[in-house]
Amino acid sequence: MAPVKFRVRGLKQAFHWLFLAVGAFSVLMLAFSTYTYVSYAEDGYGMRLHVSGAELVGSKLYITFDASNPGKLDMAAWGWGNVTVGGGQAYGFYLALDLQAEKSSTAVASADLTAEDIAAIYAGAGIGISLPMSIHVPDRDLTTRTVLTAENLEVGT
Amino acid sequence: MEGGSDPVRAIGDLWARQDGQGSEFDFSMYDSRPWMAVKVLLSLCIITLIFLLYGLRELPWTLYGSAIGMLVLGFGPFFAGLVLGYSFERPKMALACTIAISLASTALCFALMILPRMMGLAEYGPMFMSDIWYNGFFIPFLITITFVPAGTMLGTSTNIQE
Repeated sequence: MAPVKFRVRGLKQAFHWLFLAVGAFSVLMLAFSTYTYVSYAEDGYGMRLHVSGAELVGSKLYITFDASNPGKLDMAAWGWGNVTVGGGQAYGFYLALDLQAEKSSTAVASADLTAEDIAAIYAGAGIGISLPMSIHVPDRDLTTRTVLTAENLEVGT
Repeated sequence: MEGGSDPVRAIGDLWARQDGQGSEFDFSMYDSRPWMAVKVLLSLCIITLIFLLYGLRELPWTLYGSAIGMLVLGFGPFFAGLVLGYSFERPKMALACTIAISLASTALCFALMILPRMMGLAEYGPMFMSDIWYNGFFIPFLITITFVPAGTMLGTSTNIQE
């Protein structure tokens, strides 16, 4: 196929080519934005949540969670989670987060461990976390859910 | 008054010469059916995207809340109307078509904003619909009746030879 040759003959022609380029880009952006918005409503509402560290102090296990809210709507998240040591007994903990627009937040949850599990951690066992959370966005008047799971996390001692 | 008529006559002569020159712009190509179909479809996408990105404040790439966002909200549909207006020689037809396209974009934006609620993906309270009516219908409607016709008239007026 011969290469396309064109000279911009005037402002109108330039505007038409610019329009084509912007239009092609906007078709893709429209599909992607709609998909992102729908997946926000289904799970998590854009909140990024991960475990940033776990530490054993005495008989208490402290788990640090980092959460960030990239959008311009405030949100509140809360939930009851479970932590297990090497797949053994599950310890419950409660986590609540208040995330303002475009801000990050850190929260710490703690659980009292049995002597057995403390020994397992010192022996190098990892912890598993399961945390289902409810997320409420006041400006949109909606509530949705997300689940954070992590396995075999290292614990600092 | 006689002293002022020479510049006036000179300008009149200049315009008469320019009218005779004609335009190099290939109207017959850009008025053709495939091009018009592409223009209508892409205008629909561009205007819907701009309205949607303004209404969806939760997206990190939203247009809400920034000066650049407001400029894009106003002048994006303006330029879409401008390029659409280039295909018309009759202003009334141009206005009717572009306002219809922009109203269709408003309806599409509204539908996309309530899509998660229609799909039942989360639990919604009554304030959700109130926000959607404001950001998903009222603001786009304001743009439809102001910036889009302004761009259309500017585009169409370049095709009118007087």
